[in-house]
Amino acid sequence: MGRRDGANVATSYRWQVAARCLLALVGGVLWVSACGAVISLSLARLGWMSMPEGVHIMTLASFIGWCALGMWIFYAPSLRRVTGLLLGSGGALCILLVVLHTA
Amino acid sequence: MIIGLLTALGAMMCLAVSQNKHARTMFARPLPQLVRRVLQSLGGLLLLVSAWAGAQSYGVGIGLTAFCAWVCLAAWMVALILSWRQR
Amino acid sequence: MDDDDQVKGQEETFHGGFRQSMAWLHTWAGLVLSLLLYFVFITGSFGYFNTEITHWMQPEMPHLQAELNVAEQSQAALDHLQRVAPDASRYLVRFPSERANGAIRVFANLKTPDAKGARNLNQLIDPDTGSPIEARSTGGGNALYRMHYALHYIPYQAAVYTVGVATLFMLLAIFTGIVTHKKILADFFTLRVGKGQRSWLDAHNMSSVLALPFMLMITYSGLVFYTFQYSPGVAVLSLGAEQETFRTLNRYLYPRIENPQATGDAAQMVPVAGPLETAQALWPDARLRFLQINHPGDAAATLSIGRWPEGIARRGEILYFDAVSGELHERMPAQPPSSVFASATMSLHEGHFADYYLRWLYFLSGLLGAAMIATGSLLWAKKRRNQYRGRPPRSIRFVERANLGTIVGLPLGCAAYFWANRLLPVGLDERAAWELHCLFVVWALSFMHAGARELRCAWREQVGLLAGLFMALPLLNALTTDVHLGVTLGQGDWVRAGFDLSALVFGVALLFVRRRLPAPEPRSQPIIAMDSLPSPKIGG
Repeated sequence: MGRRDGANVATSYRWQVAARCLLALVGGVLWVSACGAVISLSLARLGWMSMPEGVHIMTLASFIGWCALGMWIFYAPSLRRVTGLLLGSGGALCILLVVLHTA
Repeated sequence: MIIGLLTALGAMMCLAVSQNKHARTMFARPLPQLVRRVLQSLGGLLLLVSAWAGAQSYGVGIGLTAFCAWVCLAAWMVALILSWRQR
Repeated sequence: MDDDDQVKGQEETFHGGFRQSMAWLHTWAGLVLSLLLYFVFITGSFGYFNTEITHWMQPEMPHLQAELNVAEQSQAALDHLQRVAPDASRYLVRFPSERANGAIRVFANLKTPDAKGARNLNQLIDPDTGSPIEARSTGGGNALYRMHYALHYIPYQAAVYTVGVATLFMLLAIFTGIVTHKKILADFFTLRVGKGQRSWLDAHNMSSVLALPFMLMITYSGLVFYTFQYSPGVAVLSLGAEQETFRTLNRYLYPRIENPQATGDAAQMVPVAGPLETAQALWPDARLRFLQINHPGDAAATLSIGRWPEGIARRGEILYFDAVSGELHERMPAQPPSSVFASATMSLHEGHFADYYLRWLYFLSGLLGAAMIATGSLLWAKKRRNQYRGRPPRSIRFVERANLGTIVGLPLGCAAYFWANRLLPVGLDERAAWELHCLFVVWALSFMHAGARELRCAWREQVGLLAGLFMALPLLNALTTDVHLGVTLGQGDWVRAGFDLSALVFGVALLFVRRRLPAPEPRSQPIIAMDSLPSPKIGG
């Protein structure tokens, strides 16, 4: 395996892996849930689908969504970018959620 | 029921030998372009027949399940035959 | 997964190409819980034959071929229940399926625990005589089946979540495996034998690519069984986190008719023949599944009659009657489309609809899944072993040993489970639990053996033992029971005969596998196990 020496590389690599695992396991699950909730709430608002049905469909899709998101989190070259995009879009989803719940 | 498996087996055979590397294993030389095309179409056709046979004997839902299983089993058989020929 | 992608530097993983990072993810998502997934696949595959295994494991059970005369037999069964459990809140009569022995299962929820402290009564009765059949206590095939999602020795919820996480990782491993595999179509039929690591990779690819629809279906549908437990987020964020919310959600998605509360006033119930006639008129060709009475003897008693589902549906229709007047209540409400989809997915997972031909294909696909995991795990160890000259690090040696202890050890445990069924005294307390203890003890012993012996020796010995245990199973059966092959073949009891014959075939196949395992290294030379493990013939 990686023989390019220097403890720095190995350490930073370990941090990369740990951070991405954390992002995928915690961030990924939260992001997919928020996204699913926003979609099912919007669909119910628009009257296209009943609330429980939308929630069910989005939950069934969330497993696939999580896999896709996880693949992207481990693929994207820059960790900073991944974190930024995930936090940014997650924040936007949260605001939307609050709006959909209160408005 | 058995028809479905047999047609799937036929389809897999056709598709396998239409690939040059497997044709070399089976016949010691690659097949001409035209024969490959014919075999490919025949394989596709047989696959359709197999799926149809599944739907006929089990209904569409279970039939397609059976079809997937037949294709898997047939492909394994073909792969085992090819690897046995290779020795 | 392609082996070329792996060897480049670790630190390049996140700066290399898409395929390379996906190969990394495939390797680790797959490896981390691979041994648990192997357990799930093996026990789950046995689950496709749960009824048949139970039949074999209860040799006292007669081989019944009684014609079903539902009206007469269900009245006899209910009379029997009223005699042995007069004070019950529910009676259930389950008719045999096409797969099962002809015995009828009767079940009662007791209002007050009986002398042994049991809260329910569960018996099998002979439909001809109406009297209960006494058979040895055993976990049967259902104990194996149940372990594939509820594991053993740990609390149910913890087990279900553990298996759920493993399943999610497996789904991720499948997706990453697909995008990593460079030449799915070109390598579709490629199985190069005797080429070391390359052969293991071929076997891994073959077992997963050819059965890809099955793998995707079985993994995804495994998650669907516990949809809201595994992914509560969407529901919590849009509906709230109260328990009641989830109950309402489930009632909406899987509507059923609620049973009324008992009134406490006694009432005379109608004979079941009338409602059964109504049911048979509504479903002319259906095979009945069960008959249930809630609050028998009460003025609010209800009678429900269920049929086996049609096609790919998971639940058969149920008719609800007033058990006092015999009137038919409303029919079952329809499911919303999303739960029709979810039900169909779960039905595909369980394969209740499968006849024996399809059932064998299910079983083999399940074993192929186990082979996919086993070859993947062996490949991981072999690839890393090849990168080290001399003694590899402890982690690799551990995985090598754990691979043997699981890949062969678990089937050894299962064989021990069947042996224990015949050898443990019939009157033993907690007999069913001891059968399972035997499974886990033998499995643990296999781990220890794998750790203690030189690896190639250990492989040969364990595979040999496994072959021997399976091949001797029909013999053991003949020595300890009177339902051996000589009898069952004559009787046409194909379920028991099939079990014995399958054990024999598996044993012989394993003997061939053992012959292809490499001979142990002479003592003086350094041990390079795994390097010359045989090239696989059928995936493992």
